[in-house]
Amino acid sequence: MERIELYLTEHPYFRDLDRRQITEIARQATARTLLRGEILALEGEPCTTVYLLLEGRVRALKMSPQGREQVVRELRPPQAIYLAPALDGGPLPATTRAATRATLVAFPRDAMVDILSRYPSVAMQVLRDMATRLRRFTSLIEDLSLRTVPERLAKLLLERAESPDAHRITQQEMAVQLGTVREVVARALAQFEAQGWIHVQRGTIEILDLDALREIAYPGGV
Amino acid sequence: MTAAGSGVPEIDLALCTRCGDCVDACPSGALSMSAAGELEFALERCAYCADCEDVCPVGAIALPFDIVIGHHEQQGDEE
Repeated sequence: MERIELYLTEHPYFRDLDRRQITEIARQATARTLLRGEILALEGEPCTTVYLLLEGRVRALKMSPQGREQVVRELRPPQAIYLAPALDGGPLPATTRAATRATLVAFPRDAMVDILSRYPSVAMQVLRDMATRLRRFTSLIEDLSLRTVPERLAKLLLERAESPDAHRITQQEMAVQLGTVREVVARALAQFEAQGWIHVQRGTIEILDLDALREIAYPGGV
Repeated sequence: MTAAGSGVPEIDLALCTRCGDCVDACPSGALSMSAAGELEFALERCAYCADCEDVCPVGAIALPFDIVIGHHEQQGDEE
């Protein structure tokens, strides 16, 4: 309970609330721990719970009828999970699975809706968060509909290489983020290597020609 | 057997069910099953091809990559 309270005190959604209000909100929450690979909830289920990620990483993914996965989002603390279905009453829009061991703070849906209606400052923070998410999804739609796999892969490699906090990534993870399968990623990496743009070693992909990758990732300029 | 070091497959033995699918899939014989039914790994044989990662039904094997900008490119950017 104390841990949940401390977490909520530091969470951006609740930054304008006082100690008494945080304590009251914490009473409605429970902690939940997931092992790596464990499913949190399945796409299509009714929304009964809203989660705030306390530690670890959770992936939101959509599954095709053939069983192919598309990661639509990788969630990190302090992000919220299943806010949209809690608000619109619809089914869960995506399956969520722990990418690492993860700890979450769980609120019953009705409790979260009640918190939002009682505390306008929390509602404003949630709105801000939802607006940011909308921008991200717009960018994902653009990537999936307008870019080829090599273009998307070049963009991913550049973003990862230039991001100081990017964690190590497997080819399988690259594939799900790009909306394709690992064999296609491996083939595209081999093509890039044959062109002399990258060098793939055990555990490291070294970018040798930034300009070439930028030209592929952002045809016509950024 | 989990190792975060560069170029070493990360095998989570807590998740591994010892089904042996990775042993069958490994083209270079880097994975084997001991007489006691434990998974064994020979780093010197591993080609880091990720076939084992593909077939593992519980996601216990990961072959992650760091993505880095080459030394020459970094120097070039500074010029």
